[in-house]
Amino acid sequence: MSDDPVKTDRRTFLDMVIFGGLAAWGTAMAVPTVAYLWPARSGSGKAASVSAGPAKDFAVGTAKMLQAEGKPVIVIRVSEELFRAFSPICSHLGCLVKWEAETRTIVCPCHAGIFDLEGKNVSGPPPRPLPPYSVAVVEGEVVVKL
Amino acid sequence: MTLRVSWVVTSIVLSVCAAVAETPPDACVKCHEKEAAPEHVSVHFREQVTCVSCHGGDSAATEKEKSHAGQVRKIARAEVPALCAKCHSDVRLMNPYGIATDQFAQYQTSRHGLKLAEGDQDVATCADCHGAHGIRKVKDPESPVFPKNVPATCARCHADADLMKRHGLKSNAPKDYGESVHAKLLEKGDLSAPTCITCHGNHGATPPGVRDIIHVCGKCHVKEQELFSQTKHFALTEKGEFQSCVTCHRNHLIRTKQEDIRKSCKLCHGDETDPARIRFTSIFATIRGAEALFQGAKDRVQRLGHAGIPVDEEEALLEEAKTGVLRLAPMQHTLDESKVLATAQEAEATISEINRRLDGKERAESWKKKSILPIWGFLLGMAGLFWLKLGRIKKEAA
Repeated sequence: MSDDPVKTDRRTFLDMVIFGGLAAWGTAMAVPTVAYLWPARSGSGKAASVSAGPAKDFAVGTAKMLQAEGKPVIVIRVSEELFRAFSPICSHLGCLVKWEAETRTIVCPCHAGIFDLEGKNVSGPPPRPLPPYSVAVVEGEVVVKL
Repeated sequence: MTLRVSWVVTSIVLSVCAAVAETPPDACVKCHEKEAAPEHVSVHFREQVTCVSCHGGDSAATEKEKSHAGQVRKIARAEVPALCAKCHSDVRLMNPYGIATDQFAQYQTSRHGLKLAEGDQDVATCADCHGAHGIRKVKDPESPVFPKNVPATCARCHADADLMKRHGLKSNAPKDYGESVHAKLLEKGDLSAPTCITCHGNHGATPPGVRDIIHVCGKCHVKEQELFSQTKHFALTEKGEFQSCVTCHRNHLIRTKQEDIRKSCKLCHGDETDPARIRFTSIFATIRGAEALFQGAKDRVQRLGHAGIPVDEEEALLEEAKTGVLRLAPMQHTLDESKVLATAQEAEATISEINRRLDGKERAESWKKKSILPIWGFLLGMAGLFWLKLGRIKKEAA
């Protein structure tokens, strides 16, 4: 038995490098192709809905501010059964409105516009209601459909 | 005999029915075609308020003498408000339509109504604004009192230089309003934007007094009114020595640009060493700085978004920053430098956070671009190896 290491000549080495390179190139081409052809995980890259967390952790008379697709969303628990969600961008000049628990109204901090629990503009300069989103409790989780 | 009586009665009934059927509901329009408004236009016609309701006479008559019998008349201007009020002040008649019945009472307190009572025939009456024969509902976009049409309706008289001169008034109010921020909003289709009647009233139209201006503007600009009420200027307004909002913003033109407001400030605070001047100069600089920072961040988010970098989170933060910057405009009504600065710093902190995140994303993008170099190196190396292999194969074949 000889303990000499197996000698690799220049030709074999060149072939190995070429085949290795081809394999790397093939992998680099195949991965994005397969990823492209693979069925999409949830319809599209953009979220169709956003979670506001478990309903049991959402106290009545409070609100949460969420972000989805680069847009803010305000979710309010109006009562034990009822949730409401709106775009919190004020219809006057575009400030972010806030939930005021004491008066149970949605208030714009910039120009004191006031919206009611249905998002309707009831006082101040806002000319239109807040755009609503549909919201539902799915398996104990508050889900806002965008 | 009975048969004959029955025949006569039947003939009379049929004749009357035929006559009624031939007579149009309002026969006046047969001659007065010009004054007749189509049914779809006149709200009165639809509600069976016809010519005779206002002019008298007999609309069922087909001959001129008979139809003009009674009190047919041309209505004098001075009589118009009271005539309209016959129905429009009647609670039972107006209730179903939800129309206020104090319109005539308001009109009598208005500058128009007071002048009319003095015998001035120039002033506007109901028909001048609402029309006479083809009166449309206020909600009808073609109505002269539909919000979008109100400035033009008022301008019919108030832009008439000769008419205004006769009454010691200026005729530039409609033109000034047309250049105001309010008019621009109305042009964009915002029907809640203030028109002439929002500040002056409609039926009770009258210019607000000096002490009332802040309340008139405060109907919409609630926050500004609240913050302004804490200032020395408000105390002067209460004494009637300062015209609150219009001193800086003017009345019909409504200026909001900083350079215009600064000119107004200088009218009273012209001395460069005046502490008030130093203060407002600093407030304006703080606001300009914050607005410039926000615009810079906004442009950067847009640019990177267009370049394909995901900026969803930064867009959401921009909304927060925008809220901070927009709060500065009402906040300056406090005339308190420290409050304006504190609000600006809140906005600037959010803008800094946006820029910090974008810096990280731009660095990552830069690394991605640089990683193209080793890929190209790999491709060129492979090409070289293939060239060597090809040369060897050719050599062996030879």
